[in-house]
Amino acid sequence: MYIGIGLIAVLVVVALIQVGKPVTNNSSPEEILSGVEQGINDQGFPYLGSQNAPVEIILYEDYGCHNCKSFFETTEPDLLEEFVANGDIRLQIHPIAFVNNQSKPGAEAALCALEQGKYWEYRHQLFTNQGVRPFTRTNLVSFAQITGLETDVFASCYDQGKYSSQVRAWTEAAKTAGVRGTPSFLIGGKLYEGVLSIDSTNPDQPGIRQILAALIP
Amino acid sequence: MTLRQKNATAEKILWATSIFLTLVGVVDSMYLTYVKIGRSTPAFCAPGGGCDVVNASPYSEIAGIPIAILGGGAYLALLFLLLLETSKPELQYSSLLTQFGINLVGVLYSAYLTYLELFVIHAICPYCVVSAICMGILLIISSIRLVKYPTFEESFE
Repeated sequence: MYIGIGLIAVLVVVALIQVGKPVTNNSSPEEILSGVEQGINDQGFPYLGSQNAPVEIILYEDYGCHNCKSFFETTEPDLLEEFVANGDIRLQIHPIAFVNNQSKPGAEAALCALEQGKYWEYRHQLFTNQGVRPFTRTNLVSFAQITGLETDVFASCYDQGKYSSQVRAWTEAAKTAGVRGTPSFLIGGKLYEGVLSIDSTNPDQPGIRQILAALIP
Repeated sequence: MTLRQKNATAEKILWATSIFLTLVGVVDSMYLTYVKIGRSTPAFCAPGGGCDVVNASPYSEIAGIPIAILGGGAYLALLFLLLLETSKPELQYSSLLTQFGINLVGVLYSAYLTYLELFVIHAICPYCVVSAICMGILLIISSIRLVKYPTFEESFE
């Protein structure tokens, strides 16, 4: 009898865990980034989209933040496909680190990947592995290998803490800009907090389409 | 005091403790539901973590229903079953078995949520910890009451 109850309890919990898992995006970085222009601006921030795009979205993100992963998996693919690829939006990323002990290693490693021109692919690895494989040196180098980076160069960059002060400076700049948490979005001079969706029915948090409607005539 | 009287007293203490812990769980869940729904916290990560961060995470809902509401429902069901024991003593054993099942699901799911807090969300919500502790103690109590049932059987008669 007790074994039966125990088995039923385990089955119920497994079902709850499966149903409660957030929806994930299984697209490869190549699929997501195909046809999307990418570059680095004058201040060193990576961006996706046309330089002539009428609207720029600045995304403050932290690689230790599960809600940034949530945005990356849920809204970002649609944002790239619907708005960035056709030249309406340029998405600029400000990697910052202030949430937890995964934040700093993640941001510094991402900038080491940026140095080798594989920022977006490495960022994909960071978010995919967030909460699965901790951002230890070994794992970060392993992500670099998977991404196709020169691992010796990457490891040297990471070990030297080459972008440590850069990440610190960007984090301080974000705080000065009023960022209290991640993800945060600066769109048309206004700061939006939390995981934005493309369309929203929540009056407290408009969707990206609604925000753009007010900015693009 | 006879052995039978001692058993009856022990059973009543365990039952009363269960009622108390269940009420704590109900109040705790109500607060977490308020944090989830009432405050409309944006889904973002802030330094320091806490209940706002945990409750704003994508793991705080199952099929669109806040976990806090499901937890509150579980505590209310436990409260109903505990009270049923006094009004319908003939259903005590069935009630105890059901409580044990609910408590076991609660403890296993709380363990999963605690893992998420520690290793995925990297934020601890003290109110979630309180709920996990209540559920854990309730599981221990319901296990003891089930094992001792033959000697406790007449406590409510």
